[in-house]
Amino acid sequence: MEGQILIHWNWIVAIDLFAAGLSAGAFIISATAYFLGKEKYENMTRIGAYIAPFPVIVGILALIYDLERPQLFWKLFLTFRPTSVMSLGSWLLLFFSIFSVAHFYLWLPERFDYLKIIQAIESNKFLNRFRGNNLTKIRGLVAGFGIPISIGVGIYTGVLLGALTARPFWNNPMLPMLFLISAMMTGSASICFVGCFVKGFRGMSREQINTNKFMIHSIDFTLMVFSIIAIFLFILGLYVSPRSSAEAVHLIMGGEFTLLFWTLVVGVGILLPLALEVYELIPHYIGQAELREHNPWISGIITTSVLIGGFAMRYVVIYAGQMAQVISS
Amino acid sequence: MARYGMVIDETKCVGCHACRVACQNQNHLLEKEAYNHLEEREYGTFPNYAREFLPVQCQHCDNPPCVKVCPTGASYKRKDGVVLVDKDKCIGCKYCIAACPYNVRIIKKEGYIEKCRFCIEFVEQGGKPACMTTCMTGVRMFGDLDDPNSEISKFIIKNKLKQFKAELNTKPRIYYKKA
Repeated sequence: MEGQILIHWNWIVAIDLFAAGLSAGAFIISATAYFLGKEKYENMTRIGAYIAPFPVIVGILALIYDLERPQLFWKLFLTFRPTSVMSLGSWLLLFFSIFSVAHFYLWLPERFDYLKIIQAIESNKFLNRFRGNNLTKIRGLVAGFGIPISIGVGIYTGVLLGALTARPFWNNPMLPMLFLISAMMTGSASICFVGCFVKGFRGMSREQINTNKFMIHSIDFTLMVFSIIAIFLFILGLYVSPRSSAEAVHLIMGGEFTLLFWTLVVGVGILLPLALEVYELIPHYIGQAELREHNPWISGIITTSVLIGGFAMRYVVIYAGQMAQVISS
Repeated sequence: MARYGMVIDETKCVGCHACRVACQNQNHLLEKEAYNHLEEREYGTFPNYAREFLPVQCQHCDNPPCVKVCPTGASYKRKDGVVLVDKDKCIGCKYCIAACPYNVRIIKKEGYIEKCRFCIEFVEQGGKPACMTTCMTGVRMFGDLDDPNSEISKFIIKNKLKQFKAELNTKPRIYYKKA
């Protein structure tokens, strides 16, 4: 028995990493779309704002549930420890939840304006600043300050694992980057999914549908290319590292998680949607042809497979990371 | 101030697990819980072949990764170098378990994380850690690393010793004598 292999973090932690990344990604895409074109991409911004707060809440609940003493989780917020990524992450998640709920609220339709619901507040100088006439300014501020925080959340989920020298499979600078890219991919996939299937295209002109669709597909396409690069560099990084890492990479290169990793994470999560994106976009890029008629099947497959791949990636990384041990004489 | 450390003479270990049982008794652990364990390794090819028992417990690192990653400050290091867990602060996030390269931390059923404490209550009263008391070959040696006249300091000077997984920069305070 050379070292013991015990799995202490299971799929519940994978849910948290996935959900936090999904929320962060939806926020980043939504806020970026807002800055790129307030009217042009309004639909993307709005849908992203409606999605962002909910997965992260599920994720936080999963994280608290996974504690051995869930009732004591508030102790995380009594201290701030810059050397502990868990401490940094819990503060980031706290601020991110606040910002994503604010972002959500600011994009609700007019009738939810609290100034209209409770008329008395209108005369209050402090409270009437946040809605009403100042709406555009407040939206911009929340989106602007929210972007760095959500990038922080996207990165934290990877650094949480990557900062541990004791786990050779995780201890790789490419892991946080991979997590961030995957977070943005799942975020944009969720926006696309809700846009196509929950909200639908009622009341949108064909041109509006096309601009939004073109934008989200282009974002997806770029992110997928980058995630292939990140996965390549991640695996290469493990191969060219000391013995423990080179042994650890066998878990996904011939070992226990090979099938799961290459079919679900790479095949379903990246290559399949990438092929469909190419089918959708390349005629437009090269021949400058009109975008294809919207086909719900293509959007549906792209979004669900990206989401499945994103979760599978967290799952494989969580388990493989705990099974790989430092080899030492 | 004393600076506690330990030497484990691996060449003497016969793999009887008496240290584990003593530790379990001392710390009222359940059957499956243990603060120390034996890692068995085989290496070489016949006829140059060897087998070794490696007793592993908390290394009380000078640069402890568990203390660094603890989000609530429950894992801490005392001035005399003993790394402990404050069970009132521990929320059971298990991040320290993931961060420890020696796999020596366990979850108690009350939900906090615990590990070898060098039996510090007994050491302060002049006693020895429990794992030493039942060892029939005297594998372990415990004492003050700051005192040049202590048995352990002299042994460290005289012998060529190694630290376990020292390349991870944990600066362990347990020294191993290898075959």
